[in-house]
Amino acid sequence: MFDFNLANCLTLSVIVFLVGCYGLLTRRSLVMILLSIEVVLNGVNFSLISFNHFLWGTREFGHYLYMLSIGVAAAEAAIGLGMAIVFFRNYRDISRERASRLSEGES
Amino acid sequence: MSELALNNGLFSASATLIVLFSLLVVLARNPVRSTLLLIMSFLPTSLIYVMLKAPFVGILQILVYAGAIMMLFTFVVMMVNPRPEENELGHLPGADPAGTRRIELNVLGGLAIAGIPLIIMVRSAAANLPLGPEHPSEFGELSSISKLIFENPMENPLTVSFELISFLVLVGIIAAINFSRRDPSHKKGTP
Amino acid sequence: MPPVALALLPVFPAATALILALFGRRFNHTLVGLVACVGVALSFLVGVGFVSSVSGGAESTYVLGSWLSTNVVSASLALRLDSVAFAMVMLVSGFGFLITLYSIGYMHDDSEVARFFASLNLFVASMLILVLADNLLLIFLGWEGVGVCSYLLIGHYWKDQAVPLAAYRAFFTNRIGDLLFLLGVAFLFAHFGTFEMHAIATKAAGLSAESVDGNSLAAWGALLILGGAFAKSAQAPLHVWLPDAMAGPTPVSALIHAATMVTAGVYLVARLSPLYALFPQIRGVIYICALLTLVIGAVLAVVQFDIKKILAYSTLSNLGLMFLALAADSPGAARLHLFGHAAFKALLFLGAGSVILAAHHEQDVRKLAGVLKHLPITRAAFWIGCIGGVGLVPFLAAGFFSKEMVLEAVAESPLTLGSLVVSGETLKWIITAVEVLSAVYMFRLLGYLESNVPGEAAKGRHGHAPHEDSLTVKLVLGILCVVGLGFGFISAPASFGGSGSGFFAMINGGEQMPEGPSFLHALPAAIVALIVSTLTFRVFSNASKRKALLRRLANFPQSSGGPLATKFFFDVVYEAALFAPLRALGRFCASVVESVAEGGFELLGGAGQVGSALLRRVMNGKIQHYAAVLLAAVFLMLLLLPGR
Repeated sequence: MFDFNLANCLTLSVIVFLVGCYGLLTRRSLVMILLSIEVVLNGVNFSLISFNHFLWGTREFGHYLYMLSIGVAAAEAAIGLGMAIVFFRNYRDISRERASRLSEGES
Repeated sequence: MSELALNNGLFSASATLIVLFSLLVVLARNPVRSTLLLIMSFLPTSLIYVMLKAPFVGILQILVYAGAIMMLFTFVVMMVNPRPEENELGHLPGADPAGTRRIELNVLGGLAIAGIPLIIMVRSAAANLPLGPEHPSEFGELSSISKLIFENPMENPLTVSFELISFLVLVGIIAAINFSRRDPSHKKGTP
Repeated sequence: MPPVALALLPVFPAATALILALFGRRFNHTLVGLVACVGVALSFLVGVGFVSSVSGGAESTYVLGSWLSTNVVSASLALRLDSVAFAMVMLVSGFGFLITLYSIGYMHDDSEVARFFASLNLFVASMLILVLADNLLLIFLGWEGVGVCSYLLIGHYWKDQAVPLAAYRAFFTNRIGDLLFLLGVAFLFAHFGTFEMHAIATKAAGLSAESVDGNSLAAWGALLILGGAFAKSAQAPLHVWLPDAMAGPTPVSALIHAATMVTAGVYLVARLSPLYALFPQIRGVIYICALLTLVIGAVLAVVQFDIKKILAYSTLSNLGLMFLALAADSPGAARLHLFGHAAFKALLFLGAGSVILAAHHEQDVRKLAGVLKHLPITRAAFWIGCIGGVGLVPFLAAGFFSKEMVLEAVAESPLTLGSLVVSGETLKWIITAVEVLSAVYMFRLLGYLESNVPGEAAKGRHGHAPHEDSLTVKLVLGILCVVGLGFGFISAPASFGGSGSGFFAMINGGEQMPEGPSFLHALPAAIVALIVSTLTFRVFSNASKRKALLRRLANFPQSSGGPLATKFFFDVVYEAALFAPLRALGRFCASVVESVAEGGFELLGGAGQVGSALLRRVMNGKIQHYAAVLLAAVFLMLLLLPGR
């Protein structure tokens, strides 16, 4: 159906990115927003590897960048989820409306 | 079947699965389901990576992403324990379904406006680019990647940045542990 | 004395000024005065050491370094001492020292002595720079310095409401002069290509009057510099500040407004006299202004009741005389009278200071009647000073020979301004007539002070009569009495058998003293002066005769708005023509600025508020809003930056 070429790979990457963005903007729970960010990152990593395969033939810089990317993603997920836990501990509610009202103080 | 057709078919199938699973991730009501669906989407991704002559990366995807990061998510989802009803889009006690619908449509519209030109641009750019050189043997294998990163460590910027990334992960761990520690003698929320 | 010591001359008083300015408040009064005296005394001693360096026409130059050096313009920080400058240095530092010493006694109960003495020292330093400067730019430094110190010292009693205004007046009038001076310097530089005064003088001397165009840059330069000199030396129409400057302490009046600062203009024009010799028209202008000043000073001095104002108008008149000598192209006579005037006027001012001090700061002569009876040294000072001021007798009167020399010079040099030509002889008679008035005002003053019926101040307070308290006051008055007496001897020309040629040569850079008038020539004027002086004195020292005269004069129709009371309308004219329009302009500008600025700021502020109201909606705290904005930015970048 689809040819295995750079254009299609990049299209896939963009579509996954957009799907993740949709989840990022729409989900109500903070943890789910973080999950959507992982979807976005997944799409981006995909583009890195496909670039490397199709364009940068000799050395695997794209793979290296991919490793950086997942390293950062791991750290970011850890910290983000940690914050979500602390948030939940304080407010017993993990919704983004509650987070938006953070500046208003307790409850 | 020719190898090319095989490749194309595999790619098409995997791509479709990836998109499908990703959509389900963002649309699922149950957070546990979302997490598992994301893990599921990693499998076709790994397959495509292998097809892209990146076997090591494909393994890493499963090991690190699905193995470690998603485990993290699963634990947190369990801990936070939201009831399914609370996480449904628009199906909340006291929520405003029409408002939520409006938000969703707005977001869809915005993404479409941004995304469609983006895709067009990307496709046209990609079509015009010349193909890169031939891959050497052992391309994408662990040995080759490790050579890339660690040869000439004194002058190689990749070595330094690799180590820095690992340091970054360490910092992230320490930070996360530190601020989420529960200390009964302090006020709530502060480490 | 090595040339480098020239630099020490202004440095000593400047250093003590700095010390006093920084730490003077912690010293006690006597220490402050002593420090100040030491500064000026050191200058004087170093100056004396140069006497051999300037004998026989030699000169000593010390170059501190280059000040400006560009392709077009160059001036260096150079001090030059020739015999003229040497004489001025002796005058400034010598009189400066004596007056500083005097001030220790005069200002002993003043609360702000540190500032006073610091300003006084700074003045001496600036005046020394002015006198030693080799080029016109460096002279301007000293010029400005003395102007500032004059302002500071006039304003010493700043708590009195009228005093700061007097100080401003002096300063602003000087500023106008400074502007004209700078313009003149620029014009002269454009014509002669140098800032150095002796170079300009030499070049000008090499030209002949016919070869120079009256409209050339040199002419305009000379005229503009003249404006500066007029402001500094209080010539009409820029003379209005000098009487008001009497608001400062009396030693200041003696030093600055009699002996030194006001003579800076004379000094400058005399230095450039070869330049002015080329332009009889410009000298015609000097003639007219100087004559005006002479007359105004003499006439107004006769009707003043404040002792310092009488002396101030007398100074004005004498400055006019000096400029008349310059107009007559005789810088020698001008300089001679400069020194002579310093001799007797300083004496008179310091004597007046002693009187004021003894009478507890009373300055009205009517109340000071008869006070000299109790003040012997001051009495001697006043007699020597008045006789010297009028130039009554040869040899004993300091002013006799100097005034005669001026008259002789004028007699040989007619006034030419356009089509107006006045012969020298006519001018000489006019001046002599005005000088008779000097006898009147001087001996009127003396008459009041020696009146047979004591006034309020002479009666003393708390039972005891006024007396001379202060040691330094008496000491300095004594020294100056000797100087006043001696000046007549050292200034006598050959026609009177005197040895004045030595002194004259020194102060005029080796120029030969002219013959001088013969004894017979000078006799008529001297006799007239003697008669007038005696008459005036007898009338004014006798209280009943004085009152009779004043009653008769009161019948004279004389409105209080008349010329005498309004100082010949100068103030009124300045106010109407200059100050009132300037004030109106200032008010107008202020209102424009206010409305523009206020309106502008309102507009800016309003725009800021509207803008911020718009932008505020971005910061609403909603997470998905922020995320959406972030993504929108990313997409925009991706879409709009292809190919980079």
